[in-house]
This record gives sequence, structure tokens and C-alpha cells, in this order.
Amino acid sequence: MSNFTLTRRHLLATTASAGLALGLGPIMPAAAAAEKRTLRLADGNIGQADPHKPVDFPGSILMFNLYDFLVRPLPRGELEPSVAQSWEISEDGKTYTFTIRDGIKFHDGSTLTAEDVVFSANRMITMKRGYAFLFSAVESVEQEGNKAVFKLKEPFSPFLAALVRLAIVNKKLVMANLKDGEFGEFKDYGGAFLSSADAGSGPYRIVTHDSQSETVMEIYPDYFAGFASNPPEVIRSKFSVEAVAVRQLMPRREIDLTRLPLPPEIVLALSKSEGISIGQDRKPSIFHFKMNTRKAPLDDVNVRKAIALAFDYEQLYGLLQVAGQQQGIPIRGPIPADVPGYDPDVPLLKRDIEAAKAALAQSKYAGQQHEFDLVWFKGMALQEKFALLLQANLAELGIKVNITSAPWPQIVEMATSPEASPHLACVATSLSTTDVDSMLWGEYHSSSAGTYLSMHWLHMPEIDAALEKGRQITDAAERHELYKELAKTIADQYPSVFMYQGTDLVAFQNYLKAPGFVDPAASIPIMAGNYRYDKMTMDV
Amino acid sequence: MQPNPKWRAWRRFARNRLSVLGMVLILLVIFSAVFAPFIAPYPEHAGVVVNFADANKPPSAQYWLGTDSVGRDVLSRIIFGFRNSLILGLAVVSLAISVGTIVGITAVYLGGKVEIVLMRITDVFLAIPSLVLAMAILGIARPSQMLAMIAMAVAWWPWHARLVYGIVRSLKHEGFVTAAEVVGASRIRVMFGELLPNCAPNLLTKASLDMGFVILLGASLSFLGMGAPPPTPDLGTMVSEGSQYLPDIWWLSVTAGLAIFIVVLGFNLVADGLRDLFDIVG
Amino acid sequence: MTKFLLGRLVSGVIVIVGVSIFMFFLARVIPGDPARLALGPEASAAQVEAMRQQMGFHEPYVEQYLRFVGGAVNFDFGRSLYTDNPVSQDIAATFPATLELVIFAGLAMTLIGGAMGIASAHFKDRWPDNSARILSLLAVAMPNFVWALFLMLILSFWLGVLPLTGRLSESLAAPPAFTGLYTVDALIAGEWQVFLDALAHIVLPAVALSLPGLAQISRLTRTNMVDSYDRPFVEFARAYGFPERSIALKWALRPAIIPTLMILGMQIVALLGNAFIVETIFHWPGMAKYGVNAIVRKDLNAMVAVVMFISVFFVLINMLIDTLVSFIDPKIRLKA
Repeated sequence: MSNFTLTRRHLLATTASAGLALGLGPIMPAAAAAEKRTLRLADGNIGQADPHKPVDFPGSILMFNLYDFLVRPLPRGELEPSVAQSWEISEDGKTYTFTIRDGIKFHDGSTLTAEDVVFSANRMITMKRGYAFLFSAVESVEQEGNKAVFKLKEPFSPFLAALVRLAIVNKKLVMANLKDGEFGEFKDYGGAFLSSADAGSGPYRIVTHDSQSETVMEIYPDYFAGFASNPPEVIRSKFSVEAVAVRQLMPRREIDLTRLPLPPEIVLALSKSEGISIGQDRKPSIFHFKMNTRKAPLDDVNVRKAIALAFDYEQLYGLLQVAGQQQGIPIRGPIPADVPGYDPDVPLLKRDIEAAKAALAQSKYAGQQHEFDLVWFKGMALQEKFALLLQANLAELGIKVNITSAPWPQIVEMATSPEASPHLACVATSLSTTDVDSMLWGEYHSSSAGTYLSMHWLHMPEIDAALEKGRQITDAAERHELYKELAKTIADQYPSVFMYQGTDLVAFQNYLKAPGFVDPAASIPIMAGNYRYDKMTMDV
Repeated sequence: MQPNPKWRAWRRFARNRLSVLGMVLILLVIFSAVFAPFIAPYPEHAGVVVNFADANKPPSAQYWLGTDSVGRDVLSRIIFGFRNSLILGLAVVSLAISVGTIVGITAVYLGGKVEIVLMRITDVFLAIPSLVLAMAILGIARPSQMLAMIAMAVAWWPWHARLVYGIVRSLKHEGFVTAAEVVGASRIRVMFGELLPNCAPNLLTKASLDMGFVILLGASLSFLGMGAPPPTPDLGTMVSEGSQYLPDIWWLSVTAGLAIFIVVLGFNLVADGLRDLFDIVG
Repeated sequence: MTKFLLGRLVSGVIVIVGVSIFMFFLARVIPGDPARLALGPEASAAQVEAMRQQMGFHEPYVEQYLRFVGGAVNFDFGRSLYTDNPVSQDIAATFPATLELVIFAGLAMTLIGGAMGIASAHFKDRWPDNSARILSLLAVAMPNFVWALFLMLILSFWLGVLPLTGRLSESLAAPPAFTGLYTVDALIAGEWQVFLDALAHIVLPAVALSLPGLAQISRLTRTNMVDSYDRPFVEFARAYGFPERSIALKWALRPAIIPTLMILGMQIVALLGNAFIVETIFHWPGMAKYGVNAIVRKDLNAMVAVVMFISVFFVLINMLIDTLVSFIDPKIRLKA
């Protein structure tokens, strides 16, 4: 008590010394509370808690930790049984029957049953939000005892992989918390409730959630699949954190793990800080300049080829080396490495300004002056450097490039029509599930036009046909060949400057062991796959 | 000794040595803006160029103020940045003064309902902070230099309308106005031939002050990411970029910030001098 | 008096209606598609169309405006497209942080600026005057965000005496919400450590925010006080042998207070405007940062509501100040 009065008197004495006294506050270690192993995550975005709505990274992290799934992704993109103990696929590939594991308990203590699975699938499909598009092939979902039966309209080989996105919610709990809404007897389908609470059975449960500022989760010790040793007991995810704050707070041990694009400058500074390691989050993603094939002069493949050949890949690769870590690797077309259809024998594209000029001369726009709009996503400072690089490269071809950055919603909006899409858009695409279809379909099938994935507006019957065939073939080798062929067809059209396959650099405190960021063999190659807190160990 | 009126005016202006300093600062800035291609050590760095090999270099003999994260010379970009700031300031201030003056004079001179409506509209725009108003307008479309200028002028004209309105209202019943009306001068003639010149000293002083404020407002907008598109050198954008990499790459924010300070300070000091010169109170 | 206040109220309402028309116009002429924004990248054209119907974008503008006003008077500005919360709820959640910042900055601005002005006038052309004038010049000519970054760089990064960003250290929990102002709530709850930490966090943003206004107030106070020193009544008082101190405070300062008060309203609103920058730099989770995000993300409902809120705040502050002034100086009341 005397301590406090002293500080107070000090404070009142003069303004100058008050400043000093105050300064001591945050640096002093926090009063010894009952110390739980607390992991503080810095996220750059905001996080939606409803598992059936978001398609972004923070939403995925919450989803994977709060909820459980029929199957879960493993390293190398394989799937492990989770809520589904086993499954059977009918001869015609149209019926999937999942046997539900016994004894899984939701956070409120009730038992997870096939009824909850059916309810969750229907909720996702009916609400048409988030990853619902992965389930467009589903005709009906029914319960048969302890089995959940999915009937598909047609064979759909990526279906099993899509299930890593079907979070199982607690039907009773959701139904008890309905608000007015548009879904008939299901009212709002629990949308209001699930936006701030969880109804899951995953390894963690929500204590408090504010999508703008912070989610606090605590461990759910009864999680059926168990934990790594000394897992974090409390998770505090701070949202909307910016890199400069990470730079300041992380060396002070106020952040344990990052989940936001860190500019190379910050990574370098952090890597020099004692006690902080830099790791890699390897998830197959590609950085592109998507070229709008419906806008002159980019409707001529020669012009697109010229741009792809003018880009200085070597300079770009130099930018990806940060603090002894690789922020990305070269890419050989539309399919990332280690994904079915990837062909390591395709040569890397190299800058060749003479070839570029030749291609330009071959186009029907030869000899004309061109001016392009280029838009990059504001959230990633690194993209501006790519944009400036391309701008400089294209200046050599006599092409003027106007660069603008746009926040995400604006990019989404531009993507809705070929007219609104800029000539060049710097975006990243990645797999939503472990299946290659989850990346290519959205980008190249004409039925999914109008999203940021397809800002190139390249839609061809043969590409559509190949993508549709890929969904029906179940044989892995045959699929590989098909996608390899498809990748070539796409690459020949030059819909993008395929820049590189990205690797997010992650900073973490040395006392935190997160296997996926360190060991490539332990990396789960989907968005947020490595942010499974139950697999982490904290030796504090 | 013949007391030359010009010389007397200069003496009044220069009575405060700070005004002279301000004048010198502004002249220096204008000089470097005009002759930027000859003064800047790396004029090409203000344009389409990447130089990643030299990125993030601290100040040195080669790059006096260091380089940015693209490897461009900060000093060169500041010198070209002055250009942008001045053009922006001039465009916005002249636009705002024109609109504000017309509104102010019209309101007083036409009086009645017109006066009430015009001044109410002015009040409406004054009720939203300039920065917020300009941001809201810029937020609606893809930002461009032109739109930025218009948005800032929209945020800025009410101040001039108010100023002119105040002055003109106090002049309305002065002898020379009535005299002009009696001789049969047209309304437009009275408004702009008689009343306007009488606002000139105030407007000039305000314009100088406003150049500072508008450049500051523009810098604030660029700081929030609504500035000129790359690779145009923009002081606010430079401060913003540097602020991402504090404290390791401090020189970018610090030097660009000081550059803004120099311009704004210059115009403020000159405004003080003009105020002394014209003997304007307040 | 009542008539005076009523007049103020009417013109206040007119201003607010004007702002609402302007904002409505701005938000509806936007060449974008709010429905598409709301639904996200995967929504189908049919879903977007349904959303447009639901949001009433097909109705005539006048009807849309009336509906908007009808909602606004009930604090219903619709949902934020970004946070998915009712906008009024978001504003209620973020405003206390901004208010706390503005109160601290406002106090610093008025007290320090006033004191500087008084010292300046009292010691005209001597060192306190000169240093105060140079300081206010610095404060006015250096952009807010540059000040903020300089202070941050020196005090947080290099000297490490003040925290960098946010309202509270990571290790501390917010005090039980009562007013929403962390410093006040911490005092009420008797949590000293939280109080000191919250205070340490607010120092830099409040100082950075207060500087331009501080300079204006200091200059204005000085000018008016210097003016009144030249007036006959001060000479009179001097002749009567009143002590300098009471001359300064009684005769020189008092007439100088009113002009200062009259610009205070503008200055407080300027604080709210500048908070858009300062909150962004210091990651202060207030309404201004929410407003910046809303504008950047084209979250129209949120943007409109924040601007409306600020203009209402402006009108209220000005009414308050007018009332205050009219109490101090009845002449002004009579003139109106």
C-alpha cells in the first residue's frame, strides 16, 4: 500500500518527474497473477467468430481452435479422421457416409452427434456465406443413427478435403439462442449468437470475443484428441495490430506470436532481437499480377506475354531474402509446389526484354502507346515494391503504369466486373482446402467469375471442361496428369505474371514451440493450419 | 530622404525578423521546387525507378538523407516533394478563396434569403472538421490528385466565406459603396470592383496562412494513405512509410517531417509579417 | 436568455440537418456497390440483388433520406458492413476512448496554452514570451503526426519512458467499465497500477493532439492580454497602485478570456478531427480510428454515423460555449 502512495506523491510533485514515474508502469512486470501459460497473438486483421462465415486468416484460426471437423488436415495435405471415425464412399462417388466418433463433448458438456453434423452442414449451405461454395455439390445431408450421410448431385472428388472447412456446431445451443432473421424456422441461424460466443467442441473455448479488438480463449481440457505437452492455457488474440507495434512490443515480450504480413525491415529488426525466432508459415499461395484479359490491349496474349517477360524476376527473388529466411520461392505457373499438378520440369520464366519487345511487336497493338492501371492490396507493404518494380520494368517497353493501392473491400468490388477490374491487380491466391481444385476452380472456372481470384477474366471452354473433369476423377495419378496439362494450358495464356510462391514469415518467442513454423515436415499446408494452439508447447 | 512607400512597407514587414526568416524559407523552398531537376542529387529517383540494392541506407556521403525502402534518395524525393506540396497548396487555396469570396460577397450583397441560405450552408461545412470532410469525400472514389484537391477545397472554402462575409458586411454601408450605388454601378461591379479590393489585405494574409494549413492538411491526407499515387514523391506519404519502420529506419519520417515543417513554418511566419504590414488584428 | 438559447438551438438543428443531407448525398452517390461490399467476394449476383432490395437502394432518394433520418433520430444508423455490429453500438463502444483523449488534450490545450499566453503577455518581449512564442510556432507549423512520431521516437523508442501504443499495457485488464474512461474508472475502482498505466498511455497522444490548439490559444490569449494592457483601465489600476499580479489576472486577463472561449468550440472540434490522425498513429481504439477505418473500407453506414456524431458534438459544444460566454458578457447576448 505504501508503495502506491509513494508513487502518487511522486506523480503529483512535478510534471517532469510524473512522466518518469509513469514510464515505470508498463515496464514493471505485471503483478503476479495466478500465472497461466498465456499465448498472445498479434493479428493484423479482425476476427469473426462464426465458423461458417469468414474465409480469411483470423477467422480460420478461430475456426480451427474452437471447433471440430469431420476430418482435419495433416502435413503434406493429407487428411486424418477427426469427428468422423471412418467413412465410406459409394461406388458412384455420390454418397459419403461418415461414422461419428463416440464420446466427443461440446464445451457445454453435451455430446456431439450426427444430428449436429447435419445441422452444421445445412447451416453452412443455407446461409451461403464463407466457404459454402465448397459444398455446392451437396444435394442433401441426413442422419442415420450415428452416421451422417452426404448425398452429392454429382461425383465431386475434392469433397473430402472440403470437409476441413465444415465446423461442427452444437445444434441445441444454437437453437436455444436464435434471434429474428431471414431463415424461416431457423430465424437468424444463430448468427448473432455465434458472432460472439462459440458452440464448438474444439481444443479451446471463447472466454470473451470482440471481433474488433480481442478474443480471449481458454483451454478445453476435455478435448478428445489431446494436446502437445505444456500447451498454452489462455490465448489472447489481439486484432488490428500493426507491424510497427509488433516491432516495439515483441522484444518486450508483450507478444508471443505474429499473424500479419511483416515488412522485411521489421523482420530484420526482430530477428536481431534476443529471444525471438523467425519461422515460415508454408501454405501454398501464389503472388500474381493478374492481367485483365478483357481490357485492351491486354486482350492480346502477346501483350500479356511481353509483360510477363519484361518483369525482373531476379530482382524480385532478391527481395524475398530476409534475415536468412526465404519469404517465397520461384513459381512455375498456376499451381504451387507440392500440390497435385505441379510440374517441376517446367522452366522458370526469366526476364528477357528483347523477347518482350518482340512479343509486343507481334501484337495487334504494336507501336501504340499504352497506359495501365495497377492496383495493389494496401495491407501488404511489400506489394508496393513489386508494383514499383513492374512499373520500372514496363517503362522500358514504353508502357506507363499508374499505381494505386486499395483496401480489401475495394479490391473485392473492382473484381465484380471486367470493366471495374484494373489492367493489373497484385493479389495472392491460395488453396482453401488441401485440394488443388479449391484454388484453381475459383480462379479459372467461368462459373466463379467476379471475385478477386479471377481478376484476369480468362475463361475458356477447355479450361472449364478440364476443371469439371478434375472434380469427377478420383484416381490421384490421373488427376495429377490432368492438372499438369491444365497448368500448361493456363500458363500459355499468360493470365498473370506468376511472381512467386509466398511463404509468410512468422515471428515467435523462443519459449514457444510451434512445430509447423520450424519443421517443413510438420507444416500443415493450408491457411491457418499451423496456428493450431493445441499442437504448440510453451516452456515459460 | 524620400520615404518610398514600398520601402516603408518592407520595413513594417521586416520589423519582425521571423517574418524575414519565413520569407527566406519560402523562397528557398520555391527555388528548390522550381529547379528540382538541377538541384536534386538523383533527380531520376523522383520518377519510375527501383534500386533495391541500396534500400534502407542511413544518411551517408552518397545519400545525404539516406534512402527509402525502394532504394531511392530521400533528399531528391524531398526536393521534388516540395514541388507537389506547393502545387497542391496553390491550387487548393486559390480554389477555396475564389469560392469563399464569391459566396461571402454574394451573401452580404444580395442579403435576404440568399444570405441566410448561403451562410447556413457555410455553417454546415464548418461543423465537420476539414480533415474528416476531405477524407469522407476522398473515400468515395479511387483517389487521384485532382479529386484530392477538390476535396480539400470543399473542406476549406467555408473559412474564406466566413472571413469575406465578415469584412464585407462591415463595409456594406461605408460611403464609397453607397456612392458607387448612387452613380448607378451594377451590382456585380460594386461587389467585385469596390468590395473585393477592400478584402485583399485580409485575404492575402489568410492565403499565406492557409498555404501552410492546406499543405499540412494534404500531408495529413497522404499520411492516411490518400496522397499522390506512386512514384510521385509526396512528403506526407514519405513520413507515413517511414513510420512503419520506426525506430530502425528513422531518417525517412524525420527528414520528410522536417521538410513539411519548413514549408508550413515559412508560410506561417510570412503570414505574421503580412499581418503586421496590413495591421490586421487577430 | 431563453430566446437566445432557443435561437442557438434552432440554428444548431439546421446545421445538423444540413450535415445529414450532405452525408446522405455523399454516401449515395458513391460509385460503388455497398451491397457487394457487405456480402463479400463469394456472394452470387442474386444475393447481392436481394441485399440491395433489403437496404432499399431502389427507392427514390427522398424516401431513402427520410428513412435514414427516421433511423438516425433513434440512433439507428444500420449495421457496419465491416464489424457486422449496429453502428451505434460500435460508436458507443469506441467513443469513450476518444472522449478520454479529447478531454486530456483539451485540458492540456486550454490550461497550458492559457498559461503560456498569460506568461507571454505578462513578460512581453522577455524570455518567457519569446520561448512561448517559439514553442507555439513549432506547435502550429509541425504537423500533428510528425509531432506524434517525433515524441514516439524519442520518448518511447529511444528513451523507453513512455509506452508506444494503445490504451493499456498487454498485461493489464481494463478497469470495470463505469464511464468508459480508463483513468477515471481505474480511480473509481482504486486500481492504482491500472490508473498509472492508462495515464502513461494517454500522455503522448494527448500531447500530440493538443499542440496545434495549444498554440492558437496561447497566441490569442497573449494578443488580447497585451491589448488590454494598453487600455486605460489598466493604467488606471496601475496609478492606483494595485499589485501587478492582480492587475494581470483581474483587468488584463478577464477581457482576454472571452475571445479565447469563443474559439474554444472550434478548437475542441479540431481536436476531434485531428484525433483521426493521432488515434491512427497511436492505435488508440477510439471512434476516430473507427472512422478512419470506416472511410478507408467504404463502410458507409459507419462513416455517415461518425460524421453525424461529430457534427452533433460540435453543435452541442458551441451551444455550451455560447451560453457560457453570454453569462460572462451579457453584451453578446443582447447583440444576438
